[in-house]
Amino acid sequence: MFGKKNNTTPPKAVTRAASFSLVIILVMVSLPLVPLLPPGILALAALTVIWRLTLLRSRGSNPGWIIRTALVIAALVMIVMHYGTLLGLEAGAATLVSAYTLKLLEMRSRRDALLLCFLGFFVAVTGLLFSQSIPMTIYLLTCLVMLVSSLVGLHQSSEKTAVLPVLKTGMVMTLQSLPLMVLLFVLVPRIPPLWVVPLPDNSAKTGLSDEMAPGDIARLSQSAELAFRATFTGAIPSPDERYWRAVVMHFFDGRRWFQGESDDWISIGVDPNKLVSWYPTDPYWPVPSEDEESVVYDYDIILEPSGRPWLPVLGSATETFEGAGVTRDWRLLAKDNVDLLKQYHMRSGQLEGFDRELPYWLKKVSLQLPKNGNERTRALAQELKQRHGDNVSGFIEDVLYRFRFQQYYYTLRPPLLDGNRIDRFLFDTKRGFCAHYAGALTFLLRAAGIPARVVAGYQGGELKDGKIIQVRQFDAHAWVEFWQPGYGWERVDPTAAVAPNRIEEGLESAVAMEGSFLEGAIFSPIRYRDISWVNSLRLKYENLEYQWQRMVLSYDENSQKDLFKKLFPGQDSLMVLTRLLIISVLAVMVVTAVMLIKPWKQRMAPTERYYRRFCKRMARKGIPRKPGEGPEDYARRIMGERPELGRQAMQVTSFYIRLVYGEEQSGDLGKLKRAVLV
Amino acid sequence: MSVIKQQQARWKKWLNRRIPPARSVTLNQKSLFILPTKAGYSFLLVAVLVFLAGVNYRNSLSFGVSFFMVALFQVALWQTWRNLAGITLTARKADSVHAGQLAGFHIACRGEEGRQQQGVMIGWPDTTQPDEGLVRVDPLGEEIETTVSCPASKRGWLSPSRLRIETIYPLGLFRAWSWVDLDQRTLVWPGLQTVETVASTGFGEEGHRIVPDGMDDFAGFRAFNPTDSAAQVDWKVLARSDELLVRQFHGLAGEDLWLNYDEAPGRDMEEKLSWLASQCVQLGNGTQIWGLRLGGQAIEPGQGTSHAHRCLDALALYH
Repeated sequence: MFGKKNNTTPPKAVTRAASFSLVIILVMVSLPLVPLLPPGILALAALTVIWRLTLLRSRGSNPGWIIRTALVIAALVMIVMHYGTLLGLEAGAATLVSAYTLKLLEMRSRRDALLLCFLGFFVAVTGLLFSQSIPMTIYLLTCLVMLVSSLVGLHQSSEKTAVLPVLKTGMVMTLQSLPLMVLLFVLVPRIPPLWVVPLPDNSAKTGLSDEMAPGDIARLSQSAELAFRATFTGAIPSPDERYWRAVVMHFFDGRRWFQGESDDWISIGVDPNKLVSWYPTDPYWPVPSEDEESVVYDYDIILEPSGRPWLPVLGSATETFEGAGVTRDWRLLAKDNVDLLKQYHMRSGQLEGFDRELPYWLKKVSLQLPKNGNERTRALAQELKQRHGDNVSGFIEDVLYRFRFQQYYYTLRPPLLDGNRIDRFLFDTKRGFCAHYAGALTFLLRAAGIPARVVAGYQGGELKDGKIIQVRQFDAHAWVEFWQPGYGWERVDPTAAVAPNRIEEGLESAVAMEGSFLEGAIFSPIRYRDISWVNSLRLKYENLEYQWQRMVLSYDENSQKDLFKKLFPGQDSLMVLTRLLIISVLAVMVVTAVMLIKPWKQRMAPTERYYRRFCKRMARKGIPRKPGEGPEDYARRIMGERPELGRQAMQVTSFYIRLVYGEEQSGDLGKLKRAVLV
Repeated sequence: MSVIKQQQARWKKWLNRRIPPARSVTLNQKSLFILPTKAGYSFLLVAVLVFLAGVNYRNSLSFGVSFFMVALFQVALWQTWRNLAGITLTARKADSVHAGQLAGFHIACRGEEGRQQQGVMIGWPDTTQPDEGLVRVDPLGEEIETTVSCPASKRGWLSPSRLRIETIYPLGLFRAWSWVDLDQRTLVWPGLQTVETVASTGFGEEGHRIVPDGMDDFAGFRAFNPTDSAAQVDWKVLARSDELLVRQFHGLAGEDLWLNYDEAPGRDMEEKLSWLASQCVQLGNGTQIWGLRLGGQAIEPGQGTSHAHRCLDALALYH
């Protein structure tokens, strides 16, 4: 089925112990893939494993070709029905696992078993494409030890069934491999991807979305999953400056705020392609420049896979890099969805003067509201506008004052809204979280003729080691940007008015009274931050994870080049790498060889050793053995020349000959030794 | 001489210099060869595929696994080599057989003390057999004697070609091997054929039929054995008494049974020798006393297995 060999030599059988270990390995390496596999494939795998185990107990019979073919077809059909394709990463993984289990079922010879082991390595790697965390790495190492051990087991004689010695050998060989592995990991020159591959599907991941209906951000607030880590060089922004922009929502349809599809932009006469300027072209719209007073932060971000193209940036993005672009609303966008860990370097901060002149179309979009609905809010906007005239700041102060001193509450458990949602929130329920406040403020501003938009991203993050800010999904946040003539866009966060501690101290403190922080995630260590030992353990682990990400997982061609530029300044890093690689591989080989051969104690067979010692003694007494002289002739010569030594010579020689020519009797070796040492 | 033969001769000479024939050989770096097996190459191929996965997915741990496999490959090289290094092979006795049978050579295989050497395969490769006809030995630090068989096709001295000793333990990714000459040889007796036992000194045209009635030689009757030849049955007695009896003749001095090469049936020398050898084997199992005349040499009459072996040795070396 998967490659048959017709050969005259009968195949080598696989021992039961080895077969059993292969079943265990199959289960182990497939386990990380279980959440991805369609239930049908899981059932198929379970069936084949049980069948194999039954065969191992010498029951049942091997599946015939009809059953095997049927199983293959069943697997393929199930995969196509589940994923709609055989390509794609998940479908590919499912195909691989099916092939692997079916191969296990039809395994006969040692050749099949070897193939299974090799497939095991490959399936283990497939699991890595979906997670590279520290626990996964430890699990991977266990799998590797098992794989090596079963390779050893395959070559053991069938009488030996003890598991521990084999495991020990596997472990020892794994440990012996690690030094060279680390060397290769550091020194083998990394290359950028060679061709496009199907990437993991992250569409179902929790994360920001491009629209904001009530409830979305509240859902995120239940997740303690890491969103990204930023490592700062130099100044660190204070908590109330940590606004990470990711999505800007220009449109409101009465129920939800959204970013706008191509059609939405075309309908107002804007080419959606012109909204992004991809690297390396410069934006054709004016970009504010830095001056001495502007605060600019310098940081590296490691973004967890999000399945979305948004690259969070502190404040507004003005520069870009390979594979990314700056949007018209000053965000950073990746060309493709971020499906793998992504690292990027950014400089951004609190520049001023974004869109001092607001283009007509942008102004139109930033004032867009449904034709009717939410009449009470519109009335309030008109009333405020009359009170403040063109004083936008006064207008906003008024709204924030209202949020601060009237009976508004910040809650993760807001009542459900329907009908005129903004009206209901502003005047009736007065309970909500950032999305409600940001939406309401933007509506008010737009209704009063002030261009405004909702911005979603992350706010805050946990500062670690004084230079790393760690942002989790529950730090997701929404705020408002409004436009002032002559100044440009300015940020205002209505949540800061109603719940200042959300901005200063984070979500946990803001909802402390309510107790709704990470309600659903009872096992998340973040939830128990106030228990000191849990927290210190968590911090230590997170630190380890961070170092792991930075040192190991993000070690790519760029970081390799940087590292070796730093170590060997002024030299071509590729040359340095090649040289070091050759030297260190040779060094490892030589060290291993010396350790194994132990040239300082060349051992001969004991018989030979004793006889040589005898010859040496005779030589010292004046009768050296001539080259090519047989032992018997030598003994006869000794007898002739030095009769007093003859007896010993004869004894030694007879034992020696008996030992060497295989007519030895028990104890001959001891007798030879005694005869030599007399 | 063809190029291949020249090459073979050169190779033999080189091997003889490098691993000189000896009754006892300890394998060391001078006598060991090592190369990856087919499985080893496939393993490297998988490592390359994993590397490509690492490149295209920018997946550091895939790189890790790929490099682990390469490192393991390197460890397998040394471990496989070490599994054979230090093994001492010693020639023990060798059994004589008839041409067309398998000659068993006894070889002691001693592992290095305190080492878990195992999966050592010894023998003369024969690709039609499982494992190429090699015998597995697991010395585990001790000495184990094993019998390795070599097909004996021709009579005479059989000095088998160099003995193959190899191992793929522990991972099967590498094969370490050596060719050793343990200076063993054994005498191959002529091949056997089915013959009817001659029971007298005389030979007729058909070689076995004439049974003289002379009373001098006649020693008496004994019960028929299934192995007895039909010629020895006294049919007259059978006709008289329904008793199946065999007439026994005593080999008296001067009138012993003599097997004579010149009178043996057969178209050529080998057939004649084969006939004689078969007779010797049968006679050796009985109580008959017989002698052998072989060209100029004669083996005095004797009896039993050891006498048969002496005759067979002479037949094996006759030319």
